[in-house]
Amino acid sequence: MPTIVSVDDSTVPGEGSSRLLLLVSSDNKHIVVEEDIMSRSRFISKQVEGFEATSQRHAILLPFSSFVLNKVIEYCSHYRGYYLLEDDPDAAPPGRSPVREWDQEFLDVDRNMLLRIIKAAHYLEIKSLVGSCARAIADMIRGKTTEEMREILGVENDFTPEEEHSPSSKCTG
Amino acid sequence: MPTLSLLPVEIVLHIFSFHALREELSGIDDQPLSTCTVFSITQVGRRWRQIALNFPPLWNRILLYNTSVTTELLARSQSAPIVVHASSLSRTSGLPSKLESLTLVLQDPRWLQELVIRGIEGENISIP
Repeated sequence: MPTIVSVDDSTVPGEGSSRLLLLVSSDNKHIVVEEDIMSRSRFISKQVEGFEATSQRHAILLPFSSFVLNKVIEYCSHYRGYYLLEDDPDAAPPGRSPVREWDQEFLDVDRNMLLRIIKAAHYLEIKSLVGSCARAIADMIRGKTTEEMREILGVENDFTPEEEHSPSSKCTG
Repeated sequence: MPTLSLLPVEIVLHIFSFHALREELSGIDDQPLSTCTVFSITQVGRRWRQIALNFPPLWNRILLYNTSVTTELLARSQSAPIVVHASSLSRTSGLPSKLESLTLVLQDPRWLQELVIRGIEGENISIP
C-alpha cells in the first residue's frame, strides 16, 4: 500500500483537464508532473480515482529514487497521448511488447538501472514499459553461459553440488 | 544493488518468456541444445530453476533429439498444447532415435498445436 500525505492546494494546483500531481521519491524529492502524462500508470490512475472520491488531493509517495522516477516520467512523457495496446486495461493482453526503436535507445542503460526501471514500472503498473524492460533484460542474457548470466544479473549459485548435477535439472540430450 | 533474484515472479516469467523454445528455435531442431538460453536459465540458481520448470509455456516446443530430451520436455510442458517440428528426417544419422521420440509425442494425449515434418519427400519412413 502506498503512503500518502496531505498537501495543500498551493502545492498541487488542481484545475482544468491537465491537473498536476505531486510525486515524492524515496530520496524525498518532490516532483510535480501533469496528471495526463502519468495516466499510463494504472497505479497512478487508481490513486487519482481515490482523490476524486474523497475530494482531496495528496502527494503520492513512491518507493524508488528520483533518478528512476524521472526516467519513468521521461518514458511516459514520450508516449503521452499515444495508444499502446499493452497499457489498455480493456484490451486482451497482447502476450508481449513489440520491439519499439525508441524504447531500445531509452533502455540502453546499465543493468542496475534497467532492473530499477522494471521494478518501478511494475510498481506503477505500466505494462508497456515492463514489457520493453523484460525484452532488454532477455536480450542481455541471450546466448550467455550460466556463469555469465549469474555475473550479469547478480544471481548467486545457491545449488548444492547434488542439485547442480541432478539428472532432472537439465536436458542433457 | 538490485538483482534479478529480487524481482517479482511475474517479471522474471516475462523475461524468461522471450527464451521459450518456440521463440529460440526458428523452424529447425538441429541446433545444439547448448545454444538455447532456456536450458542455461535452469542452471543459474534455485529460484530461477524453480520458476522456469514451473512455467510450461517455456517448454512446449518439443524437441526430438532423443527420447530422454523428448520425455523431459513433455513433462515440463505439463498440460500446455505442444508444438513439434521434425526436420531433416531422411538425412540425419539419428533418424531411429528421432522417430522413436516422434512416436512418444504422437502417443501423448494432449492437444497437438502444431506438427511440422520436413525432409521426407520421396522416401518411405514408417513411424513405429
